[in-house]
Amino acid sequence: MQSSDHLSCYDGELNALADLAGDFDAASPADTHRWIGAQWRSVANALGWSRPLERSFLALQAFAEGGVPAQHLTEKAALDAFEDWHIDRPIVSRGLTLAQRRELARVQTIVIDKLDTNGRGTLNRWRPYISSTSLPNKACVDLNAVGTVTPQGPGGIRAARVTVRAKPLMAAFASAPRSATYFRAFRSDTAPSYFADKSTPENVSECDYPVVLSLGTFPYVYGGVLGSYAPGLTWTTSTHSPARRGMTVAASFWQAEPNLSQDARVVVAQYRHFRATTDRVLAGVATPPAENHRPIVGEVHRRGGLLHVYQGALELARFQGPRGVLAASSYNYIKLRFAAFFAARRAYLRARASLSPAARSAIARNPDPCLRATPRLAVERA
Amino acid sequence: MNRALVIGGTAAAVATAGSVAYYLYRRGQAKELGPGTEPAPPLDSPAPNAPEPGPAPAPAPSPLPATTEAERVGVWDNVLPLPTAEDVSGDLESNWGSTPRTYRPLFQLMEEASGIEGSARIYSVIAYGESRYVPSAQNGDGDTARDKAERTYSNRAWSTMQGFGYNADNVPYGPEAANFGSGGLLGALAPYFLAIGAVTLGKAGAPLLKSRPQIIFLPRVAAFHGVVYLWRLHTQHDVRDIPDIKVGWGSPSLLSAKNRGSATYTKIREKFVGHAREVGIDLSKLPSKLNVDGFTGVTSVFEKIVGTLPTRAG
Repeated sequence: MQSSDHLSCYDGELNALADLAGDFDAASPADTHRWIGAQWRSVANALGWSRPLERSFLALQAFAEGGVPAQHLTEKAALDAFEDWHIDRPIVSRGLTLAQRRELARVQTIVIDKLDTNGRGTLNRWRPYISSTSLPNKACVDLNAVGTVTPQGPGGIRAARVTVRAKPLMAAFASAPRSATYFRAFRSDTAPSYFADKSTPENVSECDYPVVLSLGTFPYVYGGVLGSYAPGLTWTTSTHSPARRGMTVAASFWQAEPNLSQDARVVVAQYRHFRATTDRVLAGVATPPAENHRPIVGEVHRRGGLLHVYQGALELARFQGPRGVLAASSYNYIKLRFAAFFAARRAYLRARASLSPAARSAIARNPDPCLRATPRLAVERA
Repeated sequence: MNRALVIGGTAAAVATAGSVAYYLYRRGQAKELGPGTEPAPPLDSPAPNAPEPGPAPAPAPSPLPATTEAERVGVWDNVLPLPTAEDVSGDLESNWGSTPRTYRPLFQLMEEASGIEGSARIYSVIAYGESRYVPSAQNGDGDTARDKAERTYSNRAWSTMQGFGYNADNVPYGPEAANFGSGGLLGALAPYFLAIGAVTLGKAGAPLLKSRPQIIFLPRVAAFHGVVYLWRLHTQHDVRDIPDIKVGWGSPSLLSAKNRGSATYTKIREKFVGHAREVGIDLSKLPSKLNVDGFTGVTSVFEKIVGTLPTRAG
């Protein structure tokens, strides 16, 4: 089976999807570095931190003195730029005090850590689905147990920079239901959405709820919240940065071992659902032939698998569907994250001879039947 | 049934995000305006060299027959893509609030191209108030009270301009602009829009004078007009602070000693401050009053923002 056949094993359209993220020679460290840099730039451009990223990359390039920087240094440079940018964003208070937001950030971070660790065992870090009772602090914050912190207290500098600006729309991101005492660290994304159909968890209570986070598409982690606001970007950064943690997981899928450790069936299923549900919402959006089409100002159209607004703002192009608002900007972002996953999968399998022992080991323990169907890999496992 | 909101009503129709938001914005605007709150019409022209106004205009004509969106907005050649972060050097992150990221470089380019420091975020607040960032927003193409009022104003504007020597020869689409109303990202009456720059460059040099009024929908062209208008406002009228800019944006005569402090003057200022708050732009972080002494010139601004004059293809 050719590596392109590998993607076809899941779905006939995945090769075209992967092409949206570009191809690379995974046997070449330089080309791999180039491609991963392009993914960072794609993310940063879409979310609005391209300048901090470029500054960080320039500094890293100077440090590398013309060579190819080590992957972990590139990742650190990008994540540092992201976190620095994220810290300066307006705070979403959700009615919580500073101390409570800090505790929430701590709990969110350690939960994502746990999901990441767990996911290496379950081979699903992309969109884990796990009961909160299995997670640190039950993925909950006891509001009454958190003391108040004055602006001049610990972490005073960052506390002083916090501006509480609650907007009505942000209420959409408040974990619900909320008692007077407990605050869920995450929404329970179990309603019918663009990521999955409805799931009906049993015995749901305050701090016993399903934690379902689409970390692979961070910061769009909830399938029913695909408007202009990205939920992951509303998470407070203080001593802990759950947003950085989420971005770390999302970016990890561009590298060989983390990508090959993921059971792609989870990703495929989510993508198929996303494609089917968004196709219905976007049915009226034209895909004009390139040669003849003359766009008009404000026109939304599809080109190359993505949405475009001629002379207009993608973030203002919003479509209302039965599973919620779908912004053109979030649609493109999410689709490109899926594309990057499959582009990486395809490239690493094509260059399987050059894979690290860790990556080979990841393949060996992956129950993904399409991965197992790859003939040469089967010989290697024998 | 597909419950997605699709303009056009058929599967083959082109969805125009601008139309969706524009439709909702226009409905909002119609609700906002009630008796006694109609915006004051501009009492002077962008070429105020002669004080006498033109003859009283005829009643606003009926709107043109219903057109497709493509006919209303037009198809244009020589249109540069919107500027990106690489095209400007200023801060695109702090104190922009919810300004769409797509438009921040454009507003920043307006500041950098013009040399009017501190103006970038003001354009964002103006755009929010005028169009909710919908470049193809228009008041005047329908049958609502607001549409009729805007066509009255644009007719009056054309009539006033005719008193200053503008006619169908030097403004071939003047009559069409008269029946256009207002529109564009930053909001402008079509006849005055076309004449921007004429005071400085003369009728022969004003770049938009021979264009069709739908050029108002092109964001870079609207930006050029906005910059020059902002400059003219400061050099010709008593602009004392940032909210005064918005007062003058709709009606410079409200900045006169006679009208300053009127109920309409105050209402426009309060509305502008409210819009800044809604967008999330802190006006106290901007200069209290803009200094336009460093204005780089109409021609320079046109070249930096628009480049080549777009021409209508359809």
